[in-house]
Amino acid sequence: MSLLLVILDGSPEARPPVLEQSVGNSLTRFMEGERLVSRMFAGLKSSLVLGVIVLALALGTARAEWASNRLVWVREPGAMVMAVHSVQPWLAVGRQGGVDEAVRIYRLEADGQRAASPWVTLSAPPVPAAVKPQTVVDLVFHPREPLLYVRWGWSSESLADPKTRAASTNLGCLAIYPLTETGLGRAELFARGAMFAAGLKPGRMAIEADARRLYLSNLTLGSGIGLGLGSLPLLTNGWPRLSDGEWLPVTINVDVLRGPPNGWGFLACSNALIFGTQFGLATWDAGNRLAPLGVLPIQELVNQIWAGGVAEIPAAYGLEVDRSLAIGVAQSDGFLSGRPQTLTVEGAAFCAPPAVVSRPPMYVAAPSPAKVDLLSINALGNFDGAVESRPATGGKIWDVKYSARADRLYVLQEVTP
Amino acid sequence: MKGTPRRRPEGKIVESANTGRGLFQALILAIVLGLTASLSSARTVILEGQEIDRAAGMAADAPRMGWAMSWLRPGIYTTALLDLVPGRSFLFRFPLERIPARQRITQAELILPVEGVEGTDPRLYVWRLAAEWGVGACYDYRKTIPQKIAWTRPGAGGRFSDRAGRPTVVARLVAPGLKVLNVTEDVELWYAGAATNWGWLLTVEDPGIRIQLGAPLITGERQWKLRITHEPE
Repeated sequence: MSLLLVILDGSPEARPPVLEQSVGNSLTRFMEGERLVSRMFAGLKSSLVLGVIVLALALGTARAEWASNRLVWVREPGAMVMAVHSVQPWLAVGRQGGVDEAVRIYRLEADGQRAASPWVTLSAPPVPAAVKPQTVVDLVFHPREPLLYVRWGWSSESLADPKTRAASTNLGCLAIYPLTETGLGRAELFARGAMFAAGLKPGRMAIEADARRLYLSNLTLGSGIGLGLGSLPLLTNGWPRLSDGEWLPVTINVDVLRGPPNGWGFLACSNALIFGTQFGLATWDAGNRLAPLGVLPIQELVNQIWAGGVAEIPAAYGLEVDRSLAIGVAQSDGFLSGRPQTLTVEGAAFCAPPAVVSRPPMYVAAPSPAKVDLLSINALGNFDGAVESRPATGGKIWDVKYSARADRLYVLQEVTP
Repeated sequence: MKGTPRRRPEGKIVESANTGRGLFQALILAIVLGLTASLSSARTVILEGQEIDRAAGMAADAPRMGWAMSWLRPGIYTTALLDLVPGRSFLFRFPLERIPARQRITQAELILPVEGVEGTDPRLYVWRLAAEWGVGACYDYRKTIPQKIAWTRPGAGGRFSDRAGRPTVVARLVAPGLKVLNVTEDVELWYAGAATNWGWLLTVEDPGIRIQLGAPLITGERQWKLRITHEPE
């Protein structure tokens, strides 16, 4: 508002001279008038320039202020993956290195900061004696319901043990934890069988904003067949939509697009899933049996890409694994469109899927082990070239998540206990 | 006898030429000068594939995909090649801002790298697009942001509404290689503002025909060209 007033009001120079001074003959009045108009224009021009500078400074300040006030470091021993609930003030951290407290769920305070101690903790699912315990692969909250989905799994080393390998075909790998005001409700374990025990990380999951499907990665489709992605149908309350008593995924073999693992992050939209491949971003249209996959190759890519985005912004993003290339492509309902944008971020070595800060000023948060780069985007989700870096002090960064509810960007950082 | 009448006229001509040599030379000089002046005022702008600002690959079997151009494997679309068959087409637009103001378009040529042809009498159709299209363009929709707007007929199939009533060019292709197509009429229309530049649609209309072009956005992008010659009005 003050900026608008500056433009309308003009600088003191722009104010008209006292009218009495221009009294005289008509020619004098005409010349005075001309000078007046000229001075007014000059004043207006300088005001506009000033206004633009003030606006630029204001935006710059707003961006800097945003990054310093709304970036929340979540420092956690054994930290690996993180999830933030869209509606509830809950943040969950998946940890490696132990059975107890493998998942910690924290309440978020009114200012978006994490509470000092966990509200609920989850241990790894019980396993028979002599069978190696599972560890967290990934976790996501239901977009509305008080449910947390946790993908558990064994490492490839653990699966090399015959007893663990044999037991893994009967033990579930996907747990649903209902949360109540008092804590944890009755959890259930699903996804049993060799299909779900691939022993691979990363193994990210995704759930659509309208929560009709839950997507899983690293599904073993059969000996010699390959590794795939899976789409599990959900009821409106977030629990499994069973078919003949079984929760079976629709699967797609993506080996031709990316070697194992294939869980490098997703953007799940209402009609299709966007995921990263070794060629570029790709779409899986689970409803199309004739042509379910489409990929948009990027020539500069060397490694696979972490993928991400939010359905309400018409763009999807990719970050090249361990390298510095960021990719942005327009998307609509999960289908890629238009020419891709690429951006090389100095000093970056991307280590997790991007998080999109969807409230202005908008960014794509791109994590590397030692810093988070904030890549500025416009309303359509296009990179505008501005990048702000936030270095991490201490341990490695493992994950980033944005909460539009709290307007906070959470950065998960591993610390020593 | 035969030689005499020939010689006479020849002699006459020579005589005539001798008498009018100055005029003839002046005429030649004038023509040369005129041509030089004309050539020096004409300019050529060459737009290359990387300047294409809108593009989409449409396919009937992947009606929402915007980059359905060729199979990587059956059921997996990619953009490594533009593989045109009936039901699969390509939309693209070159911006014309590089042509200076107050010019007359004397020639416009679209240069396409044809990499393969299959079928009897393969023909490539180039259509001027008649409707706005943008983000989300696919077989079903001409744009989906901010709202979904469908083509009049799927695949930009509506003549006079989605695309022009008749093709700008129907090119008979006999062998691979760079193909130069005359698109002067369309570029004139766009430059003069008589029609909005929504670009072109490439199609194959005849059953059994396959035409493959170098990928306009990857390896072949420098081979796709729009060459426009213009001169001051």
